[in-house]
Amino acid sequence: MRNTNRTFKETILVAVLLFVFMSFLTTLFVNYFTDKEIEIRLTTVTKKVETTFDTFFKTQEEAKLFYYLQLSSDKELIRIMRMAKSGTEKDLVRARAELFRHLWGFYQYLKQNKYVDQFHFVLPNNKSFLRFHQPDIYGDDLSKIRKTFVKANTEKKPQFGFELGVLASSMRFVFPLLSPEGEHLGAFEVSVGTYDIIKKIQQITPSAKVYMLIRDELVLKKVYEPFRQYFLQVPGLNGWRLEVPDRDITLLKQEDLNLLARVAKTTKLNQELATGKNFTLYAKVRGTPYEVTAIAFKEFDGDKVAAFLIYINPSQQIETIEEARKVYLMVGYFFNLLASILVYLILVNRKKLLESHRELEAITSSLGGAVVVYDAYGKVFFVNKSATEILGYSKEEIMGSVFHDLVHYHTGDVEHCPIYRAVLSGEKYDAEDSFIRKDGTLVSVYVSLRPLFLDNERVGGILNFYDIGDWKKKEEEVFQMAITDYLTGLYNRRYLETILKSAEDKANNRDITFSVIIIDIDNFKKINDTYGHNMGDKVLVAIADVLRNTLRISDIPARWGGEEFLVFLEQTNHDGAMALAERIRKGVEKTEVNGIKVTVSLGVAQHKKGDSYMETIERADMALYDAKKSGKNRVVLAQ
Amino acid sequence: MLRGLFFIFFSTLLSFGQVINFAPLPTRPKEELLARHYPLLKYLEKKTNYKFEFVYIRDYDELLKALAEGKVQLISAGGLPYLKLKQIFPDAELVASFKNETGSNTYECVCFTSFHGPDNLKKVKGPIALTQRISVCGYFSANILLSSVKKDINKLEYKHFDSHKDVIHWVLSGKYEMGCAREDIIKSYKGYGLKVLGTTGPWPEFVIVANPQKLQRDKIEKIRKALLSIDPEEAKDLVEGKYGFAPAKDEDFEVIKKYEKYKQNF
Repeated sequence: MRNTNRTFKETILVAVLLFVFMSFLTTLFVNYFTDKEIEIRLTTVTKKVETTFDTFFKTQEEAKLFYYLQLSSDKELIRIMRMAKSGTEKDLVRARAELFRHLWGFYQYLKQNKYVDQFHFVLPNNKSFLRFHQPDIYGDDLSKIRKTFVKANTEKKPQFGFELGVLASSMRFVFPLLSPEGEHLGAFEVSVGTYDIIKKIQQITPSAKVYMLIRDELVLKKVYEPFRQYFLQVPGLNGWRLEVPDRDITLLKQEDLNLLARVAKTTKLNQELATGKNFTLYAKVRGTPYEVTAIAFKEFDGDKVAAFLIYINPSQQIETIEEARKVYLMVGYFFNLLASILVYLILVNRKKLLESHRELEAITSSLGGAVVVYDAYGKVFFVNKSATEILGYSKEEIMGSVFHDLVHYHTGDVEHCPIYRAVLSGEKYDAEDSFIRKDGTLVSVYVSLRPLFLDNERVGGILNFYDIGDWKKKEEEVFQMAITDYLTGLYNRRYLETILKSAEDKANNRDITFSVIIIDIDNFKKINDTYGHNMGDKVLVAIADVLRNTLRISDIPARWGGEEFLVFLEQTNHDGAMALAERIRKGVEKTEVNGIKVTVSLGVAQHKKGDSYMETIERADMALYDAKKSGKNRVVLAQ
Repeated sequence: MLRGLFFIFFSTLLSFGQVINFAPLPTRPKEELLARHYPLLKYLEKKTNYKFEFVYIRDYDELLKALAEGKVQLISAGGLPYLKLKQIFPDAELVASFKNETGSNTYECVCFTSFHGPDNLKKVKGPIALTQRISVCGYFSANILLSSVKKDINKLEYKHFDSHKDVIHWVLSGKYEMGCAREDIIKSYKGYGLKVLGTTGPWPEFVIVANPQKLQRDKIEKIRKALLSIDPEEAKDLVEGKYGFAPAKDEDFEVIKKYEKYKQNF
C-alpha cells in the first residue's frame, strides 16, 4: 500500500511538473509572439502619428513661408522697422505704435484662421520689439533664451524648430526681416503654439487626449516665473512638466490629468521618455486600453529632447491582441492539462503494467517454465527469467525479436515449421522440440503454444516451454533400464521381442529376412550348485562380454531368460548366422571364469516367410535342444 | 453634548468636501486673469485648507448674478459692480479690499488715445472703446471726463469690450480714437506712446465679496483673516494681492454713489 501511494505521488508529481514545464514553454511561446505582434502594432502607430505630425508641420512651413514673402515685400513694415532699428527712444515708441496699428488686423486674421499663436517682431539686437500676442511685454532681451531669433538675425536665414519661450512652447517659424536693398531690420516669428498643435491633432482624432510635456529644467531656465504655473508637475512623471493648453487651466480636465498621471505610474513612460525617441506604448487605465504615443521635439539648435507630445488614444487593437494572448494561453494550458492527465494515466498504466509484468515474471519464473509472450507479428513483448536462463539470451536480446527466428531449430522451409505456422495461425501447439541457445547448442524443450486474445481479437500468443534435456536423459536411462538386463547389460527379452516383432513384419511384408541364435550355457545348474549363484552370475556376465565382443554392430544380443541368450541378426541368412554362432561357441569355449571353463550350446534358425518370430525362435530352440542332446558345446541349425 | 459633537463632526466633513469657486472681475483676458489670481488662490488654500477653484465669467453682470445665485462663493469686483451687486443681492458680504502699489486701497481710471490720437478731450470725436457697462473705468469714467468738457458721450460712437486690455489694443490698432481703462494696466503699455486725455478717481480698489448664504461665516472669517494678515514675504510671490489687502466697508463706495448720475443706464 505504501509503495502504491508512493507511486501515485511520484506520478502526480511528474504530471504536475510536466504541466508546469509545458505551461512555462507555452507562456514563453505565446508571450513571444504576442509581444512581437504588439511591438509591430505599436511601431505602426508611432509611424502613423509621426506621419500626421510631419504632414502638419510641412503644411505649416509652407504657409509660413508664404507670410514671409508677403511681409518682406510690405513697404510700410520695412519703413517702420527701419525707424525702430535706427531711431531714438521716441522713434522706437512711435515705430511700435505704428507697427501695432499696421499689422493688428493681420494678426487677428492669422490668429483666428491660420494656427498662429505668436506673431512677434524682434530688433537686430535680439530685443523684443512687439509681441502681438502679448503687447504689454516688450523690450526684453531674447539673446539667451530664443536661439531662433539670434540665428535668424545672425545668419539672416529662416529658422524653424521647437523652442520654449518665456510664456509657452511653440513650433517656431522665424524669418529675418530684410529690406529690398538687403538692409537687416530684425526678425519676426509666425509661430504655432503647442495648443494649436494639440487642437489640430484632436480635430483629426477627437477621441485622443493630447499633452505637451516640457523638460523640467528647461521650464525653470526659460519660462518667466509667473508663467511657470502653466507647467504642471504631474504625479508619477519625473523630469517633465505638463504645459497647460493655451495657458488656460480650465481647458485641462482633471480626468485628463488623472489619465496622464495613471499612465505615468502604471507604464514605462518615464523610462521611454528618457530614451529621447519616439515611441508608442500600451496602457490600461481603469479597464480602458490606450495607445500612448510620444513624439519627441528636439530643442532648436540642440541635441537634447526638449519636449514630448503625448498622444493617448483609446484603442481596442492591443486589447484584442491581449485578449487573443489570454485565449492562446488558456487553450495552451488546457491542452497542457489534458496532455499531463494523459501522461499521468499512461504512467499509471505503465507502472501498473510494469507491476503486473514483474508479478507475472515472478510467477512465471517460480513456475520453472519459460514463458514468452509475443504480439500478432511474433515479436516478443514479455519474456520471463526462465526463458533467458534456458536460452542464454538476455532479456533485452529477446524482447522485440521474432522469437521463432531467434531460437527455433528446424530443417526444411520455415513455412513447414509447426511452431511458425502455429504462431501465424493462432493454433494451439504442444510438442517436444529443440531450440538453439545463444551459444549455438541445442536444448530439448517441451513447447506449449497458445493464442492470446484480447476482446475476442487475437493479439499474439503465449509460448510456454520447458527444458526437458535432463528429463529426456532420465527417460533414456529408465528406458535403458526397462530394456536392459541389469546383470549382463544386454537387452532384455521384452525389448528384443519388440525388435523381433518389427523384424517379423519386415520379413513377412518386405522379404527382409533375419535369423536368431539361441544360446544356453551348458551345465549352468551344476555351476550354480557347485560354485554358488555369484559364480553363475559371473559366468552370465562373461558370456555377455563374449557376445558383445563377437557380434557385429547390427546384431542385437539379449538375455532371454535364466542361462539363455538370444541374438537377433538382421538381414542375415542361416549361413551367416551359423558362422556367427560358431564364433560365439568358440569365444565362450576359450573363456574361463575364475578358472572354470564354460561352454554353450547354440540353436540357429532363419525366419521362414509367413512365420512369426516366436515360431522362428521355437525352431531355434528345437535346434538348441538337438545341440544339447548331441553332446553340448555345439551349434545346430534348425530345420 | 453628543448632538453638539455630531454637528461639529458633520460640519467639518462637509466643509472639507466643499470647493470654493472664485471668479475675478474680467478686466483682463481670461488666461491673464487666471495667471494673476492663481498664486492668490494657492495662498488661500495653504492658509485656510479649503480648496479654491478659478472660474472665469466673461460678463460683469453674469459675474454678479453667479454670486447672488451661489454658483460662485467669492468674486472680486470694482466699485460700480459692487454697488449693483448690493442692489440685487443685499446679503453680499465684503471680505477685503486690494491694496495698490502705494499701499492705499484706491485706483484711478484713465481715458487715453494712441500716439496718433487727439491731444485733448475736446478734440475727441469717437469712436470710443469702453470696458464693460458697469465698469468704473468704462462708460462711467468716460462720461465724467467728457462731461467735464461739455461733451455728450451718448452722441459719440462707442463700443464695450470685455477687458481693459482689449480696449487698449483696439485704441492702439487705430480703430478707436479713445479708450478708458485702469491706470495700472495702461502703465504697462507705455512703450506705445499712449496719450492720457483725462483721469478719474481715486476710486475704491477692487474688493473681494462673498456670498454668506453659500459660504459659512467661519470660512469667510478665515479667508478674511488670511487676506488681511498676509505676510509681505508671502505677498511678493503673488500677482493680484501682492501689495496686500485692507479691510473693506460699504462706506468706501460712497464716493462712487456721488457720481452715480454718470453711470450708464440699462
